[in-house]
Amino acid sequence: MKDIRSILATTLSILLAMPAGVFAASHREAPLTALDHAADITDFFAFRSYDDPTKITFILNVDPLLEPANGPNYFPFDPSIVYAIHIDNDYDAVEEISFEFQFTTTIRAPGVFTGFVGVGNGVNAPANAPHAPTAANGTYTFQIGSPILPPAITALDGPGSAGLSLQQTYTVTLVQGSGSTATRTDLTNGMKLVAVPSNVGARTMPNYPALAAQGIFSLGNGVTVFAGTVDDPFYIDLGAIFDSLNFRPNNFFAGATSASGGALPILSSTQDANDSVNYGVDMVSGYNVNSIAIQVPISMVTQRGMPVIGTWGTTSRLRTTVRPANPTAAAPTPASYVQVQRMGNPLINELIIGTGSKDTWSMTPPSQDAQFAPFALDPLIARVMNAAFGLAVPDPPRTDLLPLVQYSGPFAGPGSSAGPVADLLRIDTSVAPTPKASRRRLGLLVGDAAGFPNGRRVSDDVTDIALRVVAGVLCSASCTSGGAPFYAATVPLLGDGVNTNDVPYQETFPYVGWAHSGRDRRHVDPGETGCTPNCP
Amino acid sequence: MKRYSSYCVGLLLLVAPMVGAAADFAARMAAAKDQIAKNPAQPDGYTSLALALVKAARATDRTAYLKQAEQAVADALRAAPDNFEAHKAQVAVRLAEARYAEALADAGILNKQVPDDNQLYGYMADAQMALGDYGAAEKSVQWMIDQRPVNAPGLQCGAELRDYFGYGEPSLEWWNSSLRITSSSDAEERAWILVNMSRVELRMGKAADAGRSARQALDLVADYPPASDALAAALLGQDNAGDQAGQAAEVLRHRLSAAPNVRAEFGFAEALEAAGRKAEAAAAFERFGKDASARVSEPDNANLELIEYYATHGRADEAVKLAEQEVQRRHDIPTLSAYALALTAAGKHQEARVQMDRALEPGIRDARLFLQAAGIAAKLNDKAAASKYLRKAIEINASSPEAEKAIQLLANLS
Repeated sequence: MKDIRSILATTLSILLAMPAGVFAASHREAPLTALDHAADITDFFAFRSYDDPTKITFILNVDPLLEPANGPNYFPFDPSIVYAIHIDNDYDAVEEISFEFQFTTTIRAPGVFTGFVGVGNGVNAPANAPHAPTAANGTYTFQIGSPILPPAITALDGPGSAGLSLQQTYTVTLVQGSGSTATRTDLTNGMKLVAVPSNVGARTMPNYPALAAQGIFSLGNGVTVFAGTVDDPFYIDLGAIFDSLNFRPNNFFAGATSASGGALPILSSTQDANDSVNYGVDMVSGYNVNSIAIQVPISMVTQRGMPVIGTWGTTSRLRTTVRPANPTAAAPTPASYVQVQRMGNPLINELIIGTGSKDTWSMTPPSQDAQFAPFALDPLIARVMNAAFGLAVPDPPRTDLLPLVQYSGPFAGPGSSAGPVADLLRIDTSVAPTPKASRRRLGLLVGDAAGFPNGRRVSDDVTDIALRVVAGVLCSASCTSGGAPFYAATVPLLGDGVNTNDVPYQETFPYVGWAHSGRDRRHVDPGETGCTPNCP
Repeated sequence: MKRYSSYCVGLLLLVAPMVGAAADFAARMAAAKDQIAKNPAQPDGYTSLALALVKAARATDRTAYLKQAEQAVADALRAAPDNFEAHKAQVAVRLAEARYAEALADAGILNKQVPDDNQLYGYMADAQMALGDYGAAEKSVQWMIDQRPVNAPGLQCGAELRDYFGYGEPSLEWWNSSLRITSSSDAEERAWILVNMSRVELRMGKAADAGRSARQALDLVADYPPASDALAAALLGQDNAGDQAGQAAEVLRHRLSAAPNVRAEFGFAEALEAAGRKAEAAAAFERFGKDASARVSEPDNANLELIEYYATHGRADEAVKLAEQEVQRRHDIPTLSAYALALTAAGKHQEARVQMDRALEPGIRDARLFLQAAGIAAKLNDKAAASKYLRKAIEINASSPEAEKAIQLLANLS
């Protein structure tokens, strides 16, 4: 969740390191993606598909905190953005495979007052309809008996879709290789891929799950895609974090109050073990996000004998160039686009990269991440946790964090090098997916081998994992803190108290929950602790 | 080609941390001094003062402000040696003082510290343009635009480069865009943009448009020196030059009385000469030569104009010597063309051609430069090249004074 986490990082650093005047300046100097929400990647997921272990699913979520009731046009994808998912399968941090998604918007009923409208079987102009003057060309439609409201929306296209005035279709392109030598293949196969609209409400969309499920398209060769507005699968106590780390110790924390008056965010072992109860408030509850998901055979994205891949998502826009574009040129080339945002691991840019480098990081390919290595080896957020709460953290250089940015540790390929420092979401595709009953929000940290940081599932609690990783939970015997030996086992059960999403995830593609209803949307308020799945 | 080129330096001050909403430099300076009085131990006031002084130097042509700006930066760095904004202000001052290599080195260090700082790329582009590295400048400006697609400094620096690359209309488009997003309360900034539009229009052979833009700038800021210079240049660029040259001379006479400046003295002498007032022109040139030679070692000098003066007044050796000295410092289009002019005057035509080719390499479309290149080619008896350059000069605007000369020369060639 880019925005949330970036403000977290900014807030923390400002509180502890900067004079008050700079606080205001940093808000004026908002990072690029804060000004370009449609291109803002909120989360990126990659995991072996629970229901089909021969496949891997990638999910790129963009456009944060979409209020479900925010009509009339809700939240279409931006047709001027290229959304892409990249895969490196030979450990050089350069993509061998990419999937690109581009959207087209059509307004199918320009005279309708909203993007999505429909009631029952449709409503015609009644007998007492206002009389309209007769048009000379006979094109007036507001005659008695003429259709005014289309039928409720039950389909994305064809019969039942008349009320879907704002319709988005998209293309999927497979790109093999990179740069100017890459080859491009349209995977759409002539199909009309329609993006799933926001859930307006039960009158307009009486069976939204059925409607949304129509947005799952099989393209052949084992490739399945989905694009549309869904429940934001991320969960976090946003308000507490924004209020200068003012967590809710009375509700759940076992930690002692620090000298600065803040409570060290520590869960009890019982709280930590419960993956279905929230002790804090999920401030993302009730919000939607735009999601692009693709499921492909693992064999399509890996090389023989090299099951580990690194993957990341990007958003790019056509660039305006100093040298004016040649008006006679053919289609835009890769050089015609500028990368706006990228995401591999969660929280890297937000918690690790310095504020003065965040835009540069966003616009840089992972293969050039060596320039940012100093941030990873001495992360500011660790110092903030140390200063704010007196928490002992490992001394830099933080080589314990390298498995997150290199093919090392659990992600080392057989006989291969660790590759360059690069923020990729690495996943060992030879690790089987964990059955639902055994799945743990803390993933690999608690022995759930198919969870983050071995890829990332929608249910993984990356906030708590990241807090603990930064605090040193991956440390080996060589770690020190203040010069003294540091042991990973001493890292407390850090967490924000939000352990699960507000609505259940799906066990089948696209795995995220369907979008919240605009009419009936509900956000969990402070004080409503423990609002676990299926909130009233 | 106007000899003095200011690139986009100073334009970037628009986004620098100015004090309050003060629109003019005097108010900015006053506000900065007030800030210093309240917090003398903090660097912010000194930094704001330095930037206001740089802007004042641009607005008034009084380079004495730059000395004060240097002092303000020194005060800021004394208060906080590691202050990023103070170091940035130092880069701005160095650019204004034409200390390009130092400015680029310092900006590069700051850029490593905070790569997201958009303004720094503009400073780097300024220095890179002055040093003749237009490729690097393009990369810097492209990054500015990539990072913030709609930002006035990026558009202005890009417009400057587009002009140098020979894209006249696209350059005007970006100047116009930057004008639209510049506050109407910032009259000086808007006037500066109009001056630059005037310069591009003149290069495109649209002398009447150039005059209109310059007058608009003068409407915004009365007696604005850069606008007076631009208006004079536009008047000289119109086809009935005899009458217009007299007006240009009067514009510059007034300008010099309001804001004395040695570079403008050269323009004044040129205008007098174009108006046929030979005795006055000779006196003006002589005065210019005396004043300019006294400032040769100053950061803000009139060396390019002095090279031209020497080259066209029988002092070729001095022209070459000064040009060789100048190219040690900067390698931009005006410097290289001045160097070529000096070499031509000294009869070193082959060397002149090398420098002229370098000047034209970015792709600039300027009738005066094409005439100069044609002259060099003719001296080398390369009629094909001379013809090519003359035709290019005519293509820009067939009814311009330069085109008239080109047509005549083309006839002589054939």
